[in-house]
Amino acid sequence: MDYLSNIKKKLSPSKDYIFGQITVFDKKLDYVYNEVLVDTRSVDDFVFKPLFGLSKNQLRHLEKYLPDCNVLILSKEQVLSFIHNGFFILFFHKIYAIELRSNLSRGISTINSEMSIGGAKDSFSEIFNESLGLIRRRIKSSHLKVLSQEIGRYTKTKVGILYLEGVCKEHLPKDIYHQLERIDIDGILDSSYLKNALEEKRSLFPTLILTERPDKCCMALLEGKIVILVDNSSYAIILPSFFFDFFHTTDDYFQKSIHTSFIRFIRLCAFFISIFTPAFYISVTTRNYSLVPLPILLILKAGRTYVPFPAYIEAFFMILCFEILKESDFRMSSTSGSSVSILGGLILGDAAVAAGIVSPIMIIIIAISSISGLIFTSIELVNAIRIYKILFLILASFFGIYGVFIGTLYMFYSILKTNVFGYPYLYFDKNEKFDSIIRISTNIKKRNSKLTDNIIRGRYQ
Amino acid sequence: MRRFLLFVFLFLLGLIFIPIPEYRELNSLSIIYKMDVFCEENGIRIILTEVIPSRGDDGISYQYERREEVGKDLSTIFHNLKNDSSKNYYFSGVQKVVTNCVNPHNILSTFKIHPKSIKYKKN
Repeated sequence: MDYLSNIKKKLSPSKDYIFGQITVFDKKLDYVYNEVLVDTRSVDDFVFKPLFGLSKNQLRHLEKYLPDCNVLILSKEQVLSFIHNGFFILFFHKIYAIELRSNLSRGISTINSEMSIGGAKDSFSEIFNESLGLIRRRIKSSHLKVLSQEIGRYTKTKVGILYLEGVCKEHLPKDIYHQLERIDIDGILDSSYLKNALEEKRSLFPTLILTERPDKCCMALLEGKIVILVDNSSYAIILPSFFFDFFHTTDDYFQKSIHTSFIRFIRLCAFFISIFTPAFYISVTTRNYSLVPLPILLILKAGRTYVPFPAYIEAFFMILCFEILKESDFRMSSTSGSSVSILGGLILGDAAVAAGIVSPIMIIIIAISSISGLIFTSIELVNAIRIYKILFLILASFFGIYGVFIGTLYMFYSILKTNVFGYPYLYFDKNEKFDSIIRISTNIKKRNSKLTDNIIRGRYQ
Repeated sequence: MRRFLLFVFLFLLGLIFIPIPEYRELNSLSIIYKMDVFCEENGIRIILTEVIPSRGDDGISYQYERREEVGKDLSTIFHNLKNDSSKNYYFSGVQKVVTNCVNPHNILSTFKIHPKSIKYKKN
């Protein structure tokens, strides 16, 4: 068996590949599998035991008696790929691949990063088929199509492009498929690796949503969007995503319209508060005093009585401290994370003010700004807000309120000129006017006319 | 890139037409709360009342400091005060003006202030 020794040579010196031979009625059957990827107990129960029970005549028609629902006959070129996908390979006249994957999944767990009050609580797992199953369980239609491909020279990661036929525009999944085809990289370890190929690079704001919620993905599919699932990643990509999509959550559709509209308005306010508060504070305390009434100006001055640093240094110091605290809190386990938060909160909140390093108002400003920024679930949007916050702070330090105004113009200009797969990023569709910032319940549900030709979603009678 | 450069150019062009207020830390700002302006035979005498807020254990307390300035006319006094390197006077917060001058509007326009009350006081 030259071919088998060739495979052995390719897989050596790794010891997790098992090569063996069994003899049934003087016939030698070679096999190979990876003991990590294949469930060895299943090999004993479903392959070896039945093989020893076969008669000589039955052995001639081996494929009929292999006790597994997924038995394939392979060509020589496919063997290595199937070994790495958790198949047991048996050589007897032909090459048989028997699917006996070991369970390396952590199962379907609850959502960690996109909490909601109502709705489903399950989240995607690292296993592609499990994640796909969570979507198929919700959309039980043959119109849900999956275009699959493998990306990564070494990792051969399975990537699935999901769309609803008849709802999604036809060219979109194909365009994305071709775009992904052009990726030539050694490995894809997470869905975020695909961002580089799919995202609008010139915009600081995110143009795709990463989510671990299957219900959110299903909502997107029903709207005519595309969902990309990546094996070994518990996050799916939703695209194209527009500016106002980042202000929506799944909870919005589980509440009364008026409450949803209010919460969305709060999110919009939080977006602006997060970006502008530190810059506005720096402007009015260093250059544009006349913008604030005298009583407030006196309070601001009183707050800075013992502070030796200029206001912008103080602001940068506080932002830096908060970012360090946030980062350490993310990386720590939940038990030590809370101690870090308390320690950081005490030091930044009380001791720094008592020591006269920062003013109490600056703590309020940075706290309001940072907490407002954390209202969004998209980490990419939080990062964009952070960058604009610092940019505006610099502009405010140099040019006061004029700098902030010019910075705002630039921010809106960059949002307006951004395109997502040919669609404008900041786009109010007439069909979605009752589901952008405000939400009004209507009897007829419609889709975004840019995304689909199938406008009407349905009616509430 | 060309668009970005155009944006920067327009930004710098705007700086020519829109004056950027001078950078002054709030700590170093002398906030004037009240002005007493007296027109006298040989010139004008101004008494400025500065309010100094400070943060203590029981909250914010206010102290008042007075400074007298004498000059030939209002604009001379205004320029002297503006050019005083030891203090950064902030007049926009003036709430009260007490004067014996016949035309108090001259004071308002020179110092660019909008007080809540203007009291006329005879000598």
